[in-house]
Amino acid sequence: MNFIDPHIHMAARTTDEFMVMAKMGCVLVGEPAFWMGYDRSGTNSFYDYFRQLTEWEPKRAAKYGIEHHCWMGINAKEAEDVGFAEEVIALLPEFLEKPTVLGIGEIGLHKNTRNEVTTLLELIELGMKTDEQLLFHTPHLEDKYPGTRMILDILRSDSRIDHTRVCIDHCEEHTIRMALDEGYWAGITLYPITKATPERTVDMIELYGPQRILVNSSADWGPSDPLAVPAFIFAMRRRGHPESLIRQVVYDNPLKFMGGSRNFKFSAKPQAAL
Amino acid sequence: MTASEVLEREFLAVRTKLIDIAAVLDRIGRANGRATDDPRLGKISQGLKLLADDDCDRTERLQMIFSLPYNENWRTK
Ligand SMILES: [Zn+2]
Repeated sequence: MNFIDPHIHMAARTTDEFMVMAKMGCVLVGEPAFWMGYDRSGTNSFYDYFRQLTEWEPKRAAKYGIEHHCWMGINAKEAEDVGFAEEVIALLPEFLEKPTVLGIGEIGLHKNTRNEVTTLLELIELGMKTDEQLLFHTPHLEDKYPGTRMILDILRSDSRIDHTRVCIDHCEEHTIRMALDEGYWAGITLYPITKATPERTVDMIELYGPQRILVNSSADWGPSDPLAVPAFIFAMRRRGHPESLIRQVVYDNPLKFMGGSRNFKFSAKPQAAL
Repeated sequence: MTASEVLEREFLAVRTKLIDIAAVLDRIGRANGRATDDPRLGKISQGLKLLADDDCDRTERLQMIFSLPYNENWRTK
């Protein structure tokens, strides 16, 4: 089955993994800008990373028939230094005009601090100015619940925000309902230890239905699996779900969400997975 | 799938996960020193008690045991 991984950090993965993803049926990936595992030393480092995401990664992916799209932003991990974050935000408008950019992301909260909120508000402000879609990272582990609620509070208090053009990502059992109830897209991330497993993701789809749910690997430089979406497809089949439902979640939904981005065009031809 | 079919499929996986948890708790117990004051152990035992309930929202409630509280006045705190 053809699938889309709407959240994966291919800059931290190998070309061999692009190949194996293509063999499994991957036709498109969405790559949010994020923290590289260590703090960058200056804005030039961000500038080069944004160039990597908008210039180099699409070419690397195209060799395997995968369309590469990306999100521009500064991750909450690097948002604590508000002055530095402002310098990085000043780089973004140039990149938001690139043809493969889907919007602003992943942005959000990490430790739910006042400074993180300040940076987040500036990123949202920029997004509203240029009519961007927004992709939100919600915090890890014990910070996820309060952080997700804070993000939803911020969004609710801004009447300019179209909820159907926002994804609240890394939802789990205790946060997914509130994202869906307020009309947002809800991302579920499949990770080996933290976040969700394929079986629990199937549970959430059985409980809440497939509407506005995106399933992703968020594979990066840490313990993660670029074939997590195929693992989810397999879990859905094993539980007896029809191909049409699976396709809705791993293909139609991400195309529909990305379709809300002002630059998005999808031209890849459907190809049969090996 | 019926409840019995789900149980049939998952029984061995649940068994091994429970044994793993027991082994980790035993390992902590056998190790030098004590961790009894560590609030994480309290959360684990709260979680284990919750598993014995028979409501169908255990996953969500377990997640909440491992979550910090939300303060609705976070903007002014
Ligand atoms: Zn990510």
